[in-house]
Amino acid sequence: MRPALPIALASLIAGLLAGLAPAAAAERGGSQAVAIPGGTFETVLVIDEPQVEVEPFLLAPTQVTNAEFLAFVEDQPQWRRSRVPSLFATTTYLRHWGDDTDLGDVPAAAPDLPVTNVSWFAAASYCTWAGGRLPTEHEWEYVAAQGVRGDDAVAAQHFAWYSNPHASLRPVGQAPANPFGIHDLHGMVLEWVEDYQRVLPGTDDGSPFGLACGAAARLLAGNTLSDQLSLMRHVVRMNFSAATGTGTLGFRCAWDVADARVGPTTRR
Amino acid sequence: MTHTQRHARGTLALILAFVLGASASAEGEYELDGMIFGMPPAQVFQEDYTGPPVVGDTLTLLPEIAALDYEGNVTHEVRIDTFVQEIEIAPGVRYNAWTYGGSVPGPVLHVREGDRIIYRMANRTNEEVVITEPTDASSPFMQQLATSNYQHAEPAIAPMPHSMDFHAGTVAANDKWRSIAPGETIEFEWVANYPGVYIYHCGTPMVLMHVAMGQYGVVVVSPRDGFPTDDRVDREFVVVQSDFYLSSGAGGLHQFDAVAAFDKRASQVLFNGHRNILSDQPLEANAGERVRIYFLNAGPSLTSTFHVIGAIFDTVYFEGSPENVQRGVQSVLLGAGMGAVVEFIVPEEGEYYLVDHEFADKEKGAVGVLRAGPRQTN
Repeated sequence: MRPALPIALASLIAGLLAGLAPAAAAERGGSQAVAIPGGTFETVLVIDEPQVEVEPFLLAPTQVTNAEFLAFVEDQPQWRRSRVPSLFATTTYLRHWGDDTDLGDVPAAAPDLPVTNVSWFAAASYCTWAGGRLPTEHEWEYVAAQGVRGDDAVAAQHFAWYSNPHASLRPVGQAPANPFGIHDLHGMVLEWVEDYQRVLPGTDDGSPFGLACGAAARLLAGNTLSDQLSLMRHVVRMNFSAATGTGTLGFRCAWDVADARVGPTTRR
Repeated sequence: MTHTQRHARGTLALILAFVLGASASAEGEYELDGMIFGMPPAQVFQEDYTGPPVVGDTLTLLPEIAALDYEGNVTHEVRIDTFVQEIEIAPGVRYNAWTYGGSVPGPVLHVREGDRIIYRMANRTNEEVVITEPTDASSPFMQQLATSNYQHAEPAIAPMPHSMDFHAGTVAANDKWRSIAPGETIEFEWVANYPGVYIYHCGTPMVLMHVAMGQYGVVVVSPRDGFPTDDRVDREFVVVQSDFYLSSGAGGLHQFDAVAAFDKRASQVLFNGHRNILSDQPLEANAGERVRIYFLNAGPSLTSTFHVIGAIFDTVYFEGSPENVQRGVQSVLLGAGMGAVVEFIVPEEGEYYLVDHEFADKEKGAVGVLRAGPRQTN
């Protein structure tokens, strides 16, 4: 039986997330958002049905940069490094920056690099501030699968990259876009999604399966390399807790089509 | 579902995850058949740790095994961090290995049946960890590695979640063997209830890749009362066989070949992680001595038919249990993730080749040497 919700905690989170005025999204990353056509695809994480339907939505073609996140914390002081409650971000939060509102000199803090060391709470609040939201796991997988799923040769290239990433961050949008016009989905920087812990035990889907050694095979639709590749990103993402961040964990925002009127324009 | 509903749902899920995580509690330890079960929940946290990545008195570099210089049972506090090293596994073959402790295979852990192990592992795949300058006597392994460094390791970075699955432990895998993210640390405990030669390995999907990239090692759990042949054994060594799936890649490094791995087409099959190590540094003994080898086939995917050319295994303890005794065995057949204790008499001065008698694998590197000196009479 699930315990009662800690009402105080829920109120606190709601308070932080609410009150953010619907953004002038055009100024906050939404202007470049790409219209993603709806469709169905076969998820690798089969909890109920493998076929998943994704409604049309809008997605930022690039990850949020240090410069963009700086604008957010300048506008929203409660998300500055010195002021954010520890419940919503650990001590690693924005630790590569010089100061609260100063990117500083560390290479990883360059303005056009993807922002990292951000918690799920901070990422979700940024997207709310930008008039949107984080993409869902299914939305992310649907887009990331374009040009990869079903092609084991491409998947093998991705696996090879994981084993030899010659690791360093690079400015967003430099890698070739995928067929939907989205960059960097399979690069060094992972991305928070709204429901990133969806199949972990105790989440609202109630699945008893985590992504441990023996459990993953049960969740896979197929046994192809490209299925395994898709699973890999889920596995990586699901092992974080919402307040943590690392130097290779960032995010991008999504928008519902209905919210497009507040800013995003389509280019597809 | 609207955006607001979806957002509320995601937040709700997180709150539930917190509450359920915090409310998980141990059922408490209990004893069954003289063994101890029911370990407390694993702890996952972040620590500012920059110390040696391997800590513990009974952790050694292959082919060494530490002596257990204590009576009865003790609690071992063991740290084996996971991090990336660019290593050499054969002349001209270097790759960014996913390691436990900086070598492939990882350190040998030696304990006694009934011992308790409090294990801590930091996932340091997002930082460069130097293993060739041990700052203190944290473990025999670190000292031996700094001296030997036969894989010519250099620090590298490849952030990735990892986990630790000790086959020597009996616990709930979803708790103790869970994956942790780069920058996180996990601590859990287990009791070595059964004697044996056990693999430890990463269990994070895709497990095939994590093991093929180098995340495995061996735990030797010696029987509570020893093996009946302990008093007769003159030399002890540890040998781990494993298969690799690499092809040449960017930057002069080799990289993981996923297609070959799925098809079980190994590029190298090696003893102790280097094609030449057991030829350049042969195991040494003398004629007339009894040699014991703790042998593990780590896989990830191939079988091993372990044989010593010129010798017969006088005694084999299958899987390392003193109750699984075999006599007069020419080869030991082990699937991936299986081990054995083999003992043999070195008949005369000369060289004895350790091989995987599945010769395709031997030709891919699974060969080593035991060099025997003249019989010592005193």
